[in-house]
Amino acid sequence: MRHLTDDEIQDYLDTGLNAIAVEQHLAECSDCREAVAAYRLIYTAAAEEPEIELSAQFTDRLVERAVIAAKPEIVPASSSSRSYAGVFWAAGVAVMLAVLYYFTNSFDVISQLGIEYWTKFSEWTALMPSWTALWEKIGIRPDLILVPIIILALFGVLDHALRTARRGKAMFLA
Amino acid sequence: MTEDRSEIQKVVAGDRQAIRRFIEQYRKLVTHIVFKMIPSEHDREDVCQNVFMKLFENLPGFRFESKMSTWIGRIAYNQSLNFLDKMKVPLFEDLVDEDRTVDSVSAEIADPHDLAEQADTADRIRCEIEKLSPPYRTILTLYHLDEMSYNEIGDIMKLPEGTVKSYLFRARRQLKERLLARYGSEERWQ
Repeated sequence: MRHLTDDEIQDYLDTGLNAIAVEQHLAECSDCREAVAAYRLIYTAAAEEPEIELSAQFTDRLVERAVIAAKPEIVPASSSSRSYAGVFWAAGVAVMLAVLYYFTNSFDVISQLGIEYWTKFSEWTALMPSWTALWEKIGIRPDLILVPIIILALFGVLDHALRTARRGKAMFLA
Repeated sequence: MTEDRSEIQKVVAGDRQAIRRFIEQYRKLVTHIVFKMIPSEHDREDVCQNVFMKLFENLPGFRFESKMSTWIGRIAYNQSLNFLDKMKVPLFEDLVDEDRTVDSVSAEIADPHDLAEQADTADRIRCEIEKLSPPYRTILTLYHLDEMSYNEIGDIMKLPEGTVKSYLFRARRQLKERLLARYGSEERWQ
């Protein structure tokens, strides 16, 4: 007598496949009855696993993390802060260019250089070693380089402070 | 029902109560997958936290084109895989050597008095389930405990339906062989 295969038994238990033939065989075969009984126990045990217990703080901790993580998404401050940042940076660059334009004759020098040397690349290479002469020609002084940098930094700090304040206000309101 | 779009919107918006309901609704599914995939007990809860944070991060992009439970299951499974990969834990390493013969297992059969001390047959079987490789344990749990179809399990684990069925049958066959070898005939289980 051919015994039932494991696949036949599992198909029978899962879907009732070939139920009549399988049950007829089981009525006569103790080995297969034993196998089916073992499978039934496995099915029952797998379907009745005790609930997994997590630590008492699991959900609370997760809720807090989720709420904090959700804030930048729900508060319009996030997107507006980004646009403010763009405005601040643009303003910073504009002020820096204005300072350079007002206090130096760099623009004249640059345009002059562009006209004079655009078609004469070899002149640029000749100019390269004498950076000091170029700086003097442009009229930039070290203190004038610091001014735009300080202005940019101030705008950066202002932007950061504004964003922090808006986020703090949003969390407080939540 | 958390699949309700407005409820999901509340979760995305950071509504505490909605987040709590979401966690409670899907905690079982996430823990079933993570606890079956991650062998180290002390890491499981952290991985569950990371799974939920990943879910909250990706929830705004959920388009309701698939079942929420399948989407969540997939993220839980992928996070678990990433963790196992990071820890260099082999995915299909069975805690019991599959090549051992039934005879060699029988030779190790515990003393009948020890068996009697075990709570009941279901506990013994669950002990054996824990010794299966992580993907087998996960498929077994998703099929029997979460009552998912081969198709849903395949979606979660990125496996063809045929492979899911094959793994499931193989896992149960291994369990049956171990049970018969370790605990003997049907009468002894009663």
